[in-house]
Amino acid sequence: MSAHGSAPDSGTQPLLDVKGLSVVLGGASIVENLGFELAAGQCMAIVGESGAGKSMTGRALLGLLPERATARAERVQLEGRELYPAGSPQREREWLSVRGREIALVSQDALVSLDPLRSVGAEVGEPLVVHGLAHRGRELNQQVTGLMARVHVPEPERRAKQYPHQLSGGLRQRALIASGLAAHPKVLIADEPTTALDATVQARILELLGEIKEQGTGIVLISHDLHVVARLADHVIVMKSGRVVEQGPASAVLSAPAHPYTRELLAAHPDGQPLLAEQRVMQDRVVLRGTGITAKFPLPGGGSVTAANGVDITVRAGETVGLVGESGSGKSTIMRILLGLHRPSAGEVLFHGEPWNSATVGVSERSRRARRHDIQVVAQDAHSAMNKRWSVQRIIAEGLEPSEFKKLQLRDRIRARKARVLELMASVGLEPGLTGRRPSELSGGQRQRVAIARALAARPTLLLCDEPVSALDVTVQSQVIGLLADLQARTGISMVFISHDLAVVGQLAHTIVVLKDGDVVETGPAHQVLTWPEHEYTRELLASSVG
Amino acid sequence: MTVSPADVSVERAAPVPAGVGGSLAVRWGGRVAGFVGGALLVLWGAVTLAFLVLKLVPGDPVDVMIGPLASVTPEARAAIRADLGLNQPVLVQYAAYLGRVASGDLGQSYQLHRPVSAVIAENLPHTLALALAALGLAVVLALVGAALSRRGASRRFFDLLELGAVSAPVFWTGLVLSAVFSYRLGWFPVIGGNTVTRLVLPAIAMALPIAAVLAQVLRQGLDVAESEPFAHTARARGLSRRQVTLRHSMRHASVGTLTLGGYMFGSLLGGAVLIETVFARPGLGRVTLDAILGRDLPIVMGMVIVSGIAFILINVVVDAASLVLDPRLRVGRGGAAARGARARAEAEPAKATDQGEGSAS
Amino acid sequence: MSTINHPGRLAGSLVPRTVRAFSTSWATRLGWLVGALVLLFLAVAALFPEVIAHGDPTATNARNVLAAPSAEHLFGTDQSGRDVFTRVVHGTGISLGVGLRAVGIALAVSILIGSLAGLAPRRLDSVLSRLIEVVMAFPEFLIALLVVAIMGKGASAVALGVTISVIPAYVRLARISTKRLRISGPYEAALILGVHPARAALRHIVPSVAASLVGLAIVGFGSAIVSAAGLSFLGLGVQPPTPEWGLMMSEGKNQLGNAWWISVFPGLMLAITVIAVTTVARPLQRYLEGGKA
Repeated sequence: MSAHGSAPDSGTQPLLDVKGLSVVLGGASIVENLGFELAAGQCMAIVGESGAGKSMTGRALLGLLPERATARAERVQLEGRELYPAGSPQREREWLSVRGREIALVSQDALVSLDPLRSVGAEVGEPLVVHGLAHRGRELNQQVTGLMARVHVPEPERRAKQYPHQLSGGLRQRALIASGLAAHPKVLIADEPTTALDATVQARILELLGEIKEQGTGIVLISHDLHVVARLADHVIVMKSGRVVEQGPASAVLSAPAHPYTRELLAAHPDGQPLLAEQRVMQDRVVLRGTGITAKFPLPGGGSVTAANGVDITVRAGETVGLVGESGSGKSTIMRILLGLHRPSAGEVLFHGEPWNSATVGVSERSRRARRHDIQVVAQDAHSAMNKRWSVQRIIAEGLEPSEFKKLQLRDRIRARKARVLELMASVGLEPGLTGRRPSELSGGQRQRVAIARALAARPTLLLCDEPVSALDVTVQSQVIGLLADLQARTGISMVFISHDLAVVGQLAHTIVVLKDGDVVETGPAHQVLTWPEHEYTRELLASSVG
Repeated sequence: MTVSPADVSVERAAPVPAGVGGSLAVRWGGRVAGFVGGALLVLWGAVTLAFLVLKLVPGDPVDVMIGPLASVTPEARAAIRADLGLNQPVLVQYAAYLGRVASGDLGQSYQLHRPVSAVIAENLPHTLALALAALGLAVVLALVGAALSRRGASRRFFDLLELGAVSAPVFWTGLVLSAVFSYRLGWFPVIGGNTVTRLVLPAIAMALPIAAVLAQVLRQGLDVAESEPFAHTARARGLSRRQVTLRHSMRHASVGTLTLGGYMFGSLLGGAVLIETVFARPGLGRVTLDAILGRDLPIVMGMVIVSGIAFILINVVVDAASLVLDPRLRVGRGGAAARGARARAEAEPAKATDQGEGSAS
Repeated sequence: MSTINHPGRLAGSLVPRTVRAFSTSWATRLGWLVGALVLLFLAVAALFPEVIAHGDPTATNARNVLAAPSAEHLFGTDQSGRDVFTRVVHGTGISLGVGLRAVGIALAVSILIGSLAGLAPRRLDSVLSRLIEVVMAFPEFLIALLVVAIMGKGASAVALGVTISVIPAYVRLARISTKRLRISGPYEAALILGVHPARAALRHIVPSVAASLVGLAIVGFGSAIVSAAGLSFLGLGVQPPTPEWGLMMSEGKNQLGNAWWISVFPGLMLAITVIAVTTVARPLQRYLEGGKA
């Protein structure tokens, strides 16, 4: 496996030597003049936010650029062999023997990166078959089993016969890595290898990649996440809009960043430091109280799944309650129950002391509708919650209370609504010039701000935030988090903040509720949960989050 | 972001659903039960529809059946009346009809003076041969068409060709083919000839539009599959474009195409009416047309039931083949029939909305 | 069935990739322009046939039967000496009329039933959707045939049959789109804001559903006219000497050996009509569905 070992004499000839790599896509420069040297057993990290050109770099190293893109390079040498003769990528036929065999790829989200119609074993073994390293049959099966064992997939024989959808996210990612390693490549390009995974799983996959690095494979790690990079990288390249803004040893770049953008990236990363003032919480005024919330979903084949199991939650005026859990922990179901969109199987929710959603007492939608404006939501996927034909103005105005403008004349009413929308936009940091835009013409951060503005338009007393920043780049994330903290400081609104990321929650929440498989495993004041976590699971989350 | 119960269970069931879905036997049992239920429903629908035909015919069905010109004694009339059970309440008639169909009795043809089932059995092979030949040819043409025209000028050319093939009425294509190849070139006999030579032109005429649609769907399926991340992963393993198509995307594209192919095969029965008229071929289509022209209602009713049975059989084949092709369908939640029906139901026109709505959930 | 009227039913499967293929090139725009011009011509032929062809479509001429196409008789003459071109032009109105009526009625019915089913309580919806599923088990053309079998042959039976046969597909599409929109996005967001469900549906669901249906209907129009022509071809629709395309093809069937033009030209017109409608409809559909034009 580790044919190379970590060669101490790596100074003589680098494994991968890249100089002056540029990629142009439809006239726009996507990657500009990138260069690095990668030694065996080392990890070169390329960091940047979306649109930085980091994935394009990975594709250029594999000769797999989109058709409209062209790449040039002074040199891209693999152990001295030129992959870009005369400055351009070599011919497709020559690439075929490089891909998978010399340079392999591990991409993000193995659910879609493994062919869902083929068994995991077939996918893992495919590089062996394609490069003629094994014949179909027992020999291949043995090698596949060996590969899966190498990436610590338990019961490799059984797993190899299963299909990707039957494996958990972590196992799938391991299988994908096994497939990348199958033909013993010298370089592994890992493109956001842990992005779609839960924090605890993420940590284990990073351990595995570290192991692979130890065994002598050179890793090019592409990531937006500084945590991932800090754990694995020996060298770091920071990219922004196709340009390298900073480059150097990981320790230097991460501890003493020279470029302001790197500093911004580092600062943007949630560190669990609270942004909130404590004194605003009014202990005696309960806005929302949920007791014993339980949600069971019957399975068509019989039996049922419990998404929430007797969850208690109390939100006071001016308070932010953080609801933390990984995927499948039931947090989204709880949110739907708090919103009154789904009726619980047991338990009840009181809103301002009155029944809002209950398993026993029927609360009519009619009675709820009059109060709906008072409890608003900001979801992860703002785009899909917006009518894509509508302008920003109209989207935000939908949230306005009609009664607020009832007394005005038609013309005044229109003017007043416009003014109120502009006011809302200003309060969430949106420029007035954006009123005419459609959702698709906005950036992710802008869309999330529009969603917040729409939610605030209804003048709610409680704002539910369901993973509001997880689809955003880190610098944008920190801006949106800052906005939410600022909003609460200004208006004293109560919030329920749902996230998988304990560090993000730690910035905003006064109280933290930790969920696992539908159960509350820990609840308490934020500083207490973050500093002295009682439950094993919370500790695990904390370790993988702040790392 | 919305989470339906299904989403939650998927989330939870992902790491090997142990003990969630029940035992294997139970799951397969449920699936079979669901399928049989669906099949019975369709069958019931067919019989009911057939009965409705009889009931909805304006005027006295006996008059309609005998025709205005025939002079029949009142006794014969009464006999027919009794035979059809027309002097009983509608619900009794309906129940009696259900009972008779259940015992395999589709009644007597009033024009041919033979049992309907015998008439159908005699003509079925002709139509089946035509439909199978047309479908086989269509699949071959579609595979070739889709494979040859993935991009560039050839793709535009095939696009145009396929638009033409889809738009031309099948009976017109049949007439043109026969004008050119039978009358002008004399390659195929106008009348006479053996079974094979008589099959060629009608099969081509029927196959062309199906081939065009299948090719489009197949190509679209290949495009979609090859834009997925796994195709990128496969190429990063060193597979050439062609290998990616053969080893990965062709299978993906086949799943949707198969569903559509099954649907089209079922609908060939309707097309047979036209094509058998154009080429003066015997078969179920001709029988149906003659029955409609001659107001031979028992035959028409029998054809409705045959059509329902054909739908069920095709579904069995399509469902089984889908299960082989797509392991994700093998997960035991929901009846396979229901799932298959849903997939089929949403396979085609739904795509039009896909385009507009993107992937919402 | 598929073979004769699938363009409409299957249009959905054809549309997405074709739109993609059609979106950028100059050939697209040229094709669209040509299609639009053809449609304009057809509209004139349907409304004012005598502007294009002066003669009487039923005027026989025993001395000039089965004449080949020439400058005088563009599409030749038939076995009674009638001018095929004149008959084809005068037949336009019948076909387009049947198509328009069928699609119009199918649309109205389907938007109503489909949206109701999509928004109705679960039990009612499941009954309705099961019913649709059962009806969908029968080929469209068979449904149309059954209507004719029940009503007896004739033009009105054909028109009704074609209309009824296309309804289930449209209802199902309307229901699916309503469901799909209901479980996601803007509709739910509006509910959370406290908007009344009916109003939210009107704002966020109905326009999208209607747009996709209209798009499909425009394409489905082609399928309806082909179905109707097929029924006439079988002798179940209008009776001679009416100049109807399907009927004309049937009349020329026995003359294929010596006068191919009698059958071929009416069918060609039919095909051209369908192609023109499809070409023009595809980008339009995309536009209505909320994409860019």
